[in-house]
Amino acid sequence: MVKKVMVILLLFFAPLLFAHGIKVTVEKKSPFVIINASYHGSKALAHARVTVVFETGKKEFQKGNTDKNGNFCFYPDRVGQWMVTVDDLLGHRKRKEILIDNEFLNPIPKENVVKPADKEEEDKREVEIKPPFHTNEMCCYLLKIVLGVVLILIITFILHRWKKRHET
Amino acid sequence: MHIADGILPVEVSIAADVVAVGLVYAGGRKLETEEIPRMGIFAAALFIVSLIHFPIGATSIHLGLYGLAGLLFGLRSIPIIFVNLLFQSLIFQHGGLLSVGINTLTMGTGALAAWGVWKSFKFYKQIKSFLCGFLGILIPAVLISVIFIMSNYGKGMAFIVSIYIPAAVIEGFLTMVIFNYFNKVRPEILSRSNSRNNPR
Repeated sequence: MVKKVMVILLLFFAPLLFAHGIKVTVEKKSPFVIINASYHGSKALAHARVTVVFETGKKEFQKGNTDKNGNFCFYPDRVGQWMVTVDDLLGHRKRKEILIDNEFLNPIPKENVVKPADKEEEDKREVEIKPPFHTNEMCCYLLKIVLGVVLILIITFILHRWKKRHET
Repeated sequence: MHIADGILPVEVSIAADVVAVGLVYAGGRKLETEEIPRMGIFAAALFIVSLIHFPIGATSIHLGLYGLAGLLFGLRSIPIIFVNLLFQSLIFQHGGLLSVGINTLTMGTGALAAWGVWKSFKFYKQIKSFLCGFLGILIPAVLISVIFIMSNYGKGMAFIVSIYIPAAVIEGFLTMVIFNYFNKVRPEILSRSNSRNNPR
């Protein structure tokens, strides 16, 4: 009975297994930089504190909060290395470096091109809806768990052998 | 529950690392050969369980089994928790590398409090095991909120403790279930834990 309860609990909570740690994605859409912060497993990091600094150690450029979907946007005004820190004020913090180049600040305007009708159809078909927690990320997360467990067991084995040898 | 790097001053983090290493040494002293595999398997289980998270409101919290670690291993739970936190920091970047010490101290305190309750109080073992699991999460949550307040960071003790109370209750029940299982199937694990908890 106890085993059944434990298995049910584990199955129920298994999808949440990958739901922790902060993930920050950066999207550069000249002239704006859009940050999306979430917990691993797709839950948006809403109302987290975001600090933007131009080059480490310099004065804060911008400070704000992510919106309810975990999004934050800022407008860099110079070329260089920008640092964005996302903090949920519960001890979880992630720092991301963003390189802004001249091409981003001064994009070359695209010429107006009339797309042929079949190209427009092709563009519509190419729109894909990514699952919130991409399969590749889940596999990577699983591999990391396996790696951690294997490392712990290897250390245990080495320690056990060393202790046994010392006793004999 | 992990504290990331940069929240606490560097000197505090380093001092905590030194204290944590001392406690790890104290917990690992005069380890007997047959204790090592048990500790290793429990450490591996703890590593997996620490990655089980629950969304609570706008955030998510995780299980820890620190109460169970304290119940089964006593002071020996400190090296187990330390190794876990180190690998979580290295592999998943959960908590900072410099903050491993302070994280070990906060979560280790929960484990030691559970051990203290287990050894000192004499009432129904099921209730005691629930209390061990409950305190194993609640005490670290309280400690972390105190640390945050002292560092002028965070959303206040009431908020942090309130979001960890559901995890503490779940952990209490889980500890009770696991304790019942061991009691029924392998009671010698519990009696061995009671006699070998104290490194001489």
